[in-house]
Amino acid sequence: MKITINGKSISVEGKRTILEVARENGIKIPSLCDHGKLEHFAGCRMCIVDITGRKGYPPSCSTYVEDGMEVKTNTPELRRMRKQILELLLSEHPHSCLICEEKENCDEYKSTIRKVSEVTGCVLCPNNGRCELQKVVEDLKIDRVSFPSLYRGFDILKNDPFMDRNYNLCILCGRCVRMCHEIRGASVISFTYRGSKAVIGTSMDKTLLESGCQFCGACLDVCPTGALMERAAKYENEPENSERTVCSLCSMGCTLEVSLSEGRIYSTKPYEEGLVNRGQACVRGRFLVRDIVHAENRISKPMIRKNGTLEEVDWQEALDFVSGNLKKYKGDSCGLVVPSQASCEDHYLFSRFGQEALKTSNIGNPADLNLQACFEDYIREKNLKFDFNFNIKDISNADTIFILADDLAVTHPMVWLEVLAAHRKGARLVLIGSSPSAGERFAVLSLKPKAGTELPLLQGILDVVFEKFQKQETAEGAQKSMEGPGLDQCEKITTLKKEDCLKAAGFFNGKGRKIFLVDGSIPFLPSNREILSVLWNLSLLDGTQMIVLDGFTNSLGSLLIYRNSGTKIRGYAAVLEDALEGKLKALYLSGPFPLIPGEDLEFLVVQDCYHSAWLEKADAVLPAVTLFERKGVLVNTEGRAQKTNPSAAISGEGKPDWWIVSQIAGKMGAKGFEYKSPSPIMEELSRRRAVFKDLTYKNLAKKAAFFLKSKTGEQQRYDPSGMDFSTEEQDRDFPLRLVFQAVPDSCRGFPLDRISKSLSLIRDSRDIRLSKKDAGKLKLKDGEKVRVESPAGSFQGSLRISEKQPAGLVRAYLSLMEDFDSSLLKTFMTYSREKASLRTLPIRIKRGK
Amino acid sequence: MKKILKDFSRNQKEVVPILHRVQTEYGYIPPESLPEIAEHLKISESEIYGILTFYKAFSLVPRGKNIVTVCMGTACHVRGGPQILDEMERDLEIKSGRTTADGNFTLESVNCLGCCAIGPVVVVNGKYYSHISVQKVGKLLKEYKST
Ligand code: SF4
Ligand code: SF4
Ligand code: SF4
Ligand code: SF4
Ligand code: FES
Ligand code: FES
Repeated sequence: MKITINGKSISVEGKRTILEVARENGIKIPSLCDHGKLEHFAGCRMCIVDITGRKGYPPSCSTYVEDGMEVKTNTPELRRMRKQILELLLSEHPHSCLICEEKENCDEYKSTIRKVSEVTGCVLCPNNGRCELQKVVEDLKIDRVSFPSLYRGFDILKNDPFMDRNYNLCILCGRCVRMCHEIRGASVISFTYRGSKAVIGTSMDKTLLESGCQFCGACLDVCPTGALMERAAKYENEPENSERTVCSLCSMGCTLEVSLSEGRIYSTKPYEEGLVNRGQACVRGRFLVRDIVHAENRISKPMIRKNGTLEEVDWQEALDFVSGNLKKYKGDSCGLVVPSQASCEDHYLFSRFGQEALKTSNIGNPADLNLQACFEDYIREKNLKFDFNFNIKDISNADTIFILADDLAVTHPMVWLEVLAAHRKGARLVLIGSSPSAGERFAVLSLKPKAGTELPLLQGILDVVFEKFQKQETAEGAQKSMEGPGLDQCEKITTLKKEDCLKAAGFFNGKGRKIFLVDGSIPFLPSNREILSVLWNLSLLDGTQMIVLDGFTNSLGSLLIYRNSGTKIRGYAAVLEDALEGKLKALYLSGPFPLIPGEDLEFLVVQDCYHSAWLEKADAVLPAVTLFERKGVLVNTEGRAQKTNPSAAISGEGKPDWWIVSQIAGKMGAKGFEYKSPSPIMEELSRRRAVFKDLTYKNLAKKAAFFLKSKTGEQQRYDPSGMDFSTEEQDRDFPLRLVFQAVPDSCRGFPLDRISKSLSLIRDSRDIRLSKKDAGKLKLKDGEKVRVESPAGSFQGSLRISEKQPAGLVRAYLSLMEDFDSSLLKTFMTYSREKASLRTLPIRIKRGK
Repeated sequence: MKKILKDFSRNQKEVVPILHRVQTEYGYIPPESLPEIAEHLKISESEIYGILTFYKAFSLVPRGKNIVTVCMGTACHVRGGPQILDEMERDLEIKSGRTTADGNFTLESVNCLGCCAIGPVVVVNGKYYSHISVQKVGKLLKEYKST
């Protein structure tokens, strides 16, 4: 169709608004409330236009073009009206600076006075210079406000982590509300009251924290004024430049824009065109990067132990010392622990370092404990055909989504946003599992079996699905082996209603595109191996696409590097076991490891970013740098490879992992470690491992998206697996059940709540979550120090009472850090080996010191 | 609360009818009821809060047996509305927007009741009193104190 705007003829296709079409054609219409990613709101009336033959002045942001439309955007009448509307709006907004004649000259003097909290004009506003409202005022050339001005006098809200809110600056454009509701599905904030009292607020004016805010910062990033501000960046000087990089704080791989000021990170924002995140981020990528890079407890210099104390030395001395000592140990008496959060180049060199220099098979990667590792073991053993790769965008096109996961909004934020997008388009969500999550409000069915009975539930569902397929005689070779517990028994074991199980099975049998999202919570469930086989069978029977999500940065990439190395690598659990049994004489720690007594250790190297209790035992300490300070290739949970860029100056004397290990390997006499940059390492890796074929820096720069070649077995058959209906006995001494979760926020395994106080208010890796009911029974209070005791061992933490937590069940984070009882940890390592023997742990809770 | 919610479907359109029912049942909307309504309708608490603060008919604090509304519209304002409100606050020992401890009175103000000619206007339980002055306040309230 054809329309004319200001006399210019424009051809348009599809359903577009006048504002969109005008923008694309370089015609400027002022706007304030409109935002490309949000539903139209038409609240500010800034974008009004004149359409020939129509009465009044419709807002162009919510008026769709029609064939033959004649639009005028800039008549004197429109200009007059817009000015008036804006003046009215400004009458309730501090505007003295906006209309000040001296404003051009004001800039040089204003730098220090911004540190007042009451904002009475732009010079005192942290948003000065980057404010959309300011720009619109400038564009409309407002030089007076002819209405009586009103200061609304709201208190400035500063009691939340990361963000301050000053609603005296709010123009009620509603962008934040729409963002939080439409895209983030959190609906933490709403319009409250009306007329002259209208203000954006939470329920009962609670803090954002109390209102379930995710602290994603998305509201802040769409606010056109200074009403919502990132506290840490509020009074910093304007950033000088910015770099684009890939976030390395979880397995999503969002693209972030990192702005820098005097070599320090000023702020990080999600990149609008990011392939995975498209303008969104989570609390880690949005608010924590600065703290991670500039943390006070960063290791900044190489150190070696001289006469019992660690002393700072230069790199050469440190490298000589480490390589000289490591030469004394050969074979499996030396253990190497790597951080899963490292680049592919690092992992490739770590694997070569272990095999060629240390000559050990005792190499442990925390990702060995992940679902992807578990699942890879499973399909490899059974020679099943499975594709780990998926495209995150496909999730939003699903008709039914099953979720067996912890809170995806926390562990896989971008996947969660796609699930929400699917839900907006009408998809049904079915939740399975006892974990409280943001998904509950959106689910058509939420199955919460008794803790630890996920397997019988899934088997029960499989039974029903199977029966139907058997009747249709389509399920060849799926014989008796799949017989499960039957619904009656399923009901008894899981304490769920039979109808609900039937309903869930019905969804599996249903039509349309079905996706089953499973995450790293599975390895923590009893009989996880059997769960995997039931899931496999279910997905095979009815064609549901199973998507295996994992929690760590680059865990998929790292797994594929070690597992396809051609030689035996024993894995994380084995290294820990050997360490506990005193079989290790030397230990090279570059990843998280629980603090063990380690009396038999003769030589300990720590190569890491942050100070931990391990430093007290270390003979040498080598400072590593984070992935925000260097180049490296990361594979995200989709199988997508992306490159990080150095976005901050390297802190202290830290070096990238690949550099450190190649130096040491070279000094130990190993050949072929002469690298000067990571790009040749990547080339070598792409030649040596089939899955990484063609994955070079050059190709990454050329291609818009690069996925690994996921290579698995051949077969697509039902897998008759052993069934396990045993239920756990109740133990009178240990009446509660403990379920572990992986720590969602970490950098190289170091929990981020120890770096950021604000994060620890949202969730703390030492939280022990208990239901209100149980807390009442035990007379324990929120925040109290408690001890969790089990027959296998104990650990401490602080109590967090949760309304959503089911009674009888306790949740804690499994952090591989020093304050964890390693004997307890050992009981949780077993699942990664032959027989899944993990159970939810019987525990009791005692008041701590 | 459970009993009230049982009468309503989980359709999100039920939010206003549910609030009305709670308001009539309790005389106000107890803040503790918000999570339960949210849970029932699968919407967030802040969405409900936004709706209930939008309508004057809903109140988050208990409302008294007698609702006293003082007009503060421009016309009544210039004729002594604020002084009348002050006197009411003094007499009832509560601030505007609050309810007396014995639950007998709730004092409110409003912007123009649309009968400026007879201002200053005070409305008690829907009954209009015209040309009120500070002196008349005591007598007016007394009428309702005995009931
Ligand atoms: S929000 Fe923008 S227009 Fe308002 S005071 Fe701050 S800088 Fe000025
Ligand atoms: S930070 Fe995110 S969750 Fe919190 S209010 Fe803003 S948009 Fe909503
Ligand atoms: S806080 Fe910002 S985004 Fe939200 S309504 Fe106010 S001005 Fe708009
Ligand atoms: S932590 Fe994950 S979801 Fe959050 S910004 Fe980084 S990559 Fe994205
Ligand atoms: S941008 Fe169109 S009404 Fe606000
Ligand atoms: S101002 Fe009081 S009735 Fe209009």
